[in-house]
Amino acid sequence: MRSFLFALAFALPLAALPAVADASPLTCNPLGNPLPLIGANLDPASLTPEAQSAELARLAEIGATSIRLLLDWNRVEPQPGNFTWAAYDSLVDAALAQGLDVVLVLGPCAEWAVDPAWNVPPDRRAYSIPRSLDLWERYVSRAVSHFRTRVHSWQVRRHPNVHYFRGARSEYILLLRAAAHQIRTHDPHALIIVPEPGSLGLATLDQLLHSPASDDCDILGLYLPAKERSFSDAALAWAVLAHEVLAGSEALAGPDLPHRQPIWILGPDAPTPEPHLLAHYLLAAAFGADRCYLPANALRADWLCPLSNLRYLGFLHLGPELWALAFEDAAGSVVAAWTSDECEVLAAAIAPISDPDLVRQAALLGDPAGTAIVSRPGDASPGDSITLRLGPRPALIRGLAAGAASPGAPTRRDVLAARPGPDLQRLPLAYADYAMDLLPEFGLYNRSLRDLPGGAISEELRVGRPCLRTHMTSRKGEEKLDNPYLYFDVDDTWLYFDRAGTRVAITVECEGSFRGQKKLGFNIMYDATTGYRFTPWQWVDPGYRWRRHRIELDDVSFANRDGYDFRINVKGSKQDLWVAAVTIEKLPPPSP
Amino acid sequence: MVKLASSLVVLALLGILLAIAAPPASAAEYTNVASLEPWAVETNYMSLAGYLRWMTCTDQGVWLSMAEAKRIVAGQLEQR
Repeated sequence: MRSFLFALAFALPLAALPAVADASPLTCNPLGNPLPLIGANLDPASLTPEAQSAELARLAEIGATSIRLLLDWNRVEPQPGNFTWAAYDSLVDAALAQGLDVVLVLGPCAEWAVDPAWNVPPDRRAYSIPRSLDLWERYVSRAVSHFRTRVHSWQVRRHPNVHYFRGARSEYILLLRAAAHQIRTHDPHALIIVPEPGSLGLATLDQLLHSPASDDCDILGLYLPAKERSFSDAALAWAVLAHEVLAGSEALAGPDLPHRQPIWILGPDAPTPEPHLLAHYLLAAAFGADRCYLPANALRADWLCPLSNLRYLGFLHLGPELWALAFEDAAGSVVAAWTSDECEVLAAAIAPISDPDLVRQAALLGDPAGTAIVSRPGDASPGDSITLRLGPRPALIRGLAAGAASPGAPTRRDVLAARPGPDLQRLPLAYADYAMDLLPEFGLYNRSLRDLPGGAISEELRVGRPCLRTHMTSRKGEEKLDNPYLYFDVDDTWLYFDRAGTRVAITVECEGSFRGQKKLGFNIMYDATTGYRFTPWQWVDPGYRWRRHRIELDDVSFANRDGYDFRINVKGSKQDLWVAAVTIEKLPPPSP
Repeated sequence: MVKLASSLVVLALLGILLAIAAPPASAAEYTNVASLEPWAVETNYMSLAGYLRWMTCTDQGVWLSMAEAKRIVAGQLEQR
């Protein structure tokens, strides 16, 4: 069986499976697109009035065009019906005086507005929802009325995810629609920003854009992914979002907006080291983001000034190790390059050298004392051997021939083509079989996912066959120590966010239950087009032999939503599951 | 013997603490449990709200109250 699977993977003629549509370059990202306007996320509570003025002046001077503030409901309406705007008026006025635009974020929830019967812990009430929509509407109505002549951009709640919003998606939509109605009533030309839950969740964004709530969304708010997510993963999500999800939706094009879907970056998803922030900012520029808000204390002249007046041209390298994007300004072309880890790179490997003297002046962005050039004694080396020391902090390099850059925003194909390994798109199946010494994981991966919650499984021999084994404790009170999940990630070249709805079948080969009937079973939780979904529970029959369970799915998304595409869940069983192999195959469309 | 037992208890508590304090997989949405059968093996013999609560804690490190979980499940069932 194993050798058959191996042969099948390689020897089958490549079926004429429908290829992913090769999207044309976006009209929203023509050559020479300016970099996203920079904005600052400010916390009014952390600054005295004097410090506020100084900070706003500093931000304006270094090129920020906007500030984004949380309009804390608790502060503006400390008791029901009593509004006070003092905490915000002076800051908003001072920002406007400096020429800074202001974005206000509606929320968090007033603690007195939370229903006590919900038993929300006191320190989490700000993330809850109001007990009545009337209270929310009153707060929004008063806020928009008060700031109507000064503020024209409103974000509805900060981050509608598990950590910052203790409500169902339907409850968020209710708050959004109610807020949008109030905003448009008081300021018909205001812009409404709808934030994503985080991590560039494609399926969620796609759902939003195809729902009635899209009528209330002028600007799509995205968050920069956490440091743990690779640049390649983020770039793939960007490429699919920009070329496929947004390109297919007219929902966000408004009468007063250019004919494209505006994207604002609202900040990093989590505390992020500066080098990664800068690299993600440059990546966002490549995909046509219009604005980028970063923490105010991350905005400094030493990296903003070199980027001012740059316009994006195209891309040179898309990883996995080396990233290089091409820009230009009045002085000529500039290449921004960085690598995942510190390493030395020949400048000529990035792009042909047109002016070696300029290349030798390469500098690290935001690190004036640092240099990107590797100096060697008596270095009068010809241009071809100029060596750069690169790392996660981007380096700006002039003197390279940026004409070699591929114009426009990278597509899905571009990002995937840059990854090592074969393109598996046209293969009918992928597998994970731990008896295969040479290639146990082909297009389907588990080994890299065992740090995920509940996924600390092991590889062990079972009846002479290497298997994946869950670890469940039978002791009461220690259920939190269980590891009942086998996480899997499907290779992105094989299947990634397929909106056409490819049908797949997952086959799990496992050992029979040794505890009898209805003691061992599993279901599969998978990333679907409508969120995570569950397959029906499969009972594993007793008996010491290998059994195959095949499950067909027709709504998979597989967009690495939380770092994985599906997981086999054993929780509820009275014994561990031993899995010898998992295969996933593409099925033909159902006959009409 | 008493020392060994207390060491084991400390280790177990540490394990539980680490499990609770483990960083979240990502900034995700609540798992939709509306399609599951409550009080059955697929919900680990819990109610839908209890199972949502347990999954949210295990996967994201966030504790919902039972009342919150019931409310969220009601929203998911409405949308099904």
